[in-house]
Amino acid sequence: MASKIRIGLLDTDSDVRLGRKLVLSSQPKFEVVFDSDGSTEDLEAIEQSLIDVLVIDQKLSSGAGVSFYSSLRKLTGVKQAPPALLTASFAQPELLLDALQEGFVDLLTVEQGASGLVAAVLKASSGANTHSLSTIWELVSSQPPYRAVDLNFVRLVDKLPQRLASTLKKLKAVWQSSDLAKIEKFEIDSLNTLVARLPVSNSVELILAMNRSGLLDVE
Amino acid sequence: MIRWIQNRNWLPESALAAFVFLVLGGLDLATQGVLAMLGSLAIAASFLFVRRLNFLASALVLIASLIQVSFSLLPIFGSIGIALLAFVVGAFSPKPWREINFVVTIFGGLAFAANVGFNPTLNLVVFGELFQLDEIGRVVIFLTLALLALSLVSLSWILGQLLMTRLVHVGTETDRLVYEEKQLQLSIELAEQSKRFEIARDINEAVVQKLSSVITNAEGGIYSAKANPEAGLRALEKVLVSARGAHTELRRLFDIINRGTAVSTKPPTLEDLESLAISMRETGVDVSISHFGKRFALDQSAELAIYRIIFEALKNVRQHNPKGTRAAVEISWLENGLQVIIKDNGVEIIRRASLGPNGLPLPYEAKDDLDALLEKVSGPGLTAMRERAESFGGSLEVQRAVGIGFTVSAMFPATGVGVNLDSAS
Repeated sequence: MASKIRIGLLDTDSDVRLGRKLVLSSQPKFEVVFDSDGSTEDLEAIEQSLIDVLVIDQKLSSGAGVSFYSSLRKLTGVKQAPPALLTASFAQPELLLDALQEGFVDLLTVEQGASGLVAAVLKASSGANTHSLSTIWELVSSQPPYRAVDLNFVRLVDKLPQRLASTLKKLKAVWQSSDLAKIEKFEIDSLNTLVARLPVSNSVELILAMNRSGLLDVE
Repeated sequence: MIRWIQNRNWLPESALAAFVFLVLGGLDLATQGVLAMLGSLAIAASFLFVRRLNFLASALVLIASLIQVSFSLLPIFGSIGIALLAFVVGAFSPKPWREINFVVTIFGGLAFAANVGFNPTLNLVVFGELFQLDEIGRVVIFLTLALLALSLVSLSWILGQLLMTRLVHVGTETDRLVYEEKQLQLSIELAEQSKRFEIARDINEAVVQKLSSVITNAEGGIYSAKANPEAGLRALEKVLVSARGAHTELRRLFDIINRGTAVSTKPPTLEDLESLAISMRETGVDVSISHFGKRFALDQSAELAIYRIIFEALKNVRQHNPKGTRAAVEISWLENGLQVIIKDNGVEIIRRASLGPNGLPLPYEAKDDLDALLEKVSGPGLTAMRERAESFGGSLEVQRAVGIGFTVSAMFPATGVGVNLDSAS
């Protein structure tokens, strides 16, 4: 029998945590091994709890959920931090973009219900991409342009071998075309090989990091 | 004071005319006799027509000048009234008569100068010695006096205009005090509303959190009940606690919102129309409110809707028409309902301001009549007004009165506005 997926729950509201714990614990594949209100002391505890998937609410006792996960990734390293899902009361494009940029797998809302939570945890644990290039492109286009060049990231992209760099060139060409048909056809999973070489946790974060550093801009 | 003058059409003019006639005309009667007094009478009478029938003011000034020149009178005291007339014309006459009457008063001043300069009975006395004036001397005196009269009349006219511009755009000391008080009151209300809004936002957040908890626990209960009924029960208890918490927060929110309504924004009634008319007058629209028929009690929400319709209609009048436009609100209390008519003369004011090639206001044609009949006046504001009327079973029509302005007419049936005919007030 395969080992269970170890889940960590972070939310200021203990009632919400209990409800989520009941939902997740009822699934034979899941085991909730950690739940807390998200204080800063939890950062080290999470590092030591061998968690497979983190479910983090945007409201934590230490502040915003996105900031908490960012701190965790700084502590453990980007690659070592467990994949995380962000939960919030309502879906907001700005929050979704922030979360994806910080390496979250997805944003879950109350509307998506318990089944949505279960499915998202399964997907996060499998490492599959939850968004297509077209949804990312539409999300980015709907928000005001934002640039924050990460020189270290740009340097690492420049050093990529020719074979991998060509995948990025293809991504850039498709992104710049603004042609939704072409964007929809792009296989986001083709970027997975690049994720291993760069300081990002998934393909979506890679695309957003490139966009933020201006690497997808028209020259 | 200035509002009192603006709001009364004949009384201030009559007072001025009486002053000029009794004082200056009296002096003329005493010094030169009846003919001079008639000249003063004409100038005094011209004050009566600075706001209406303006052509009569011009005619009377010309008549006064004619009397002086034709009968070779010595300069009359009534001529002083011309400078005063220029001031009143500058302040109160509508366009284009403001300019026409200005030119006419200048002509009156020149007539006075000519009368002095070229009057054969007038000669110069220097140190008790009489000098017979030759032609050049008379021309010099005429030109000097003409320049003086021109300057005096122009100065008076400009001062009149300045006074009116200042009053319209800056207001009197009282206006400013009232405005400042209103501003202060509004800023206090705004601060209160902001605080209330902050509290409401906090409560709303708490409610959202509680409801999230309700939903999550209910889902948790459903998922776990099959395997562990006790866990399901625990979830149900949590649902109840969270739902109660949400209910309490909602109650608090309800109190906050309703308190705000009761304290700062008591819904306006038709009694507040007079205040509305005053504030509209302050912004340049002369609003009159008239009631016809025996008034009866209205349902509060219907009264608010009627007030809002009138308010919106007057706001439109102010927004789309020049200053000086008149708006009449007529409320007819009928046996089977209520009729509200709001009509303005904005188009007429604009037409008067723009003259055609013959110097007269542009005429309107039969086509304009036809267009007005076929035209469907529309706009988001009007739609909202119509919807307000319809929500009380009423109807609202907007019609263009060709060459005059617009008429908004709303009709409410007695059943729709919730009237109680027995409780007539």
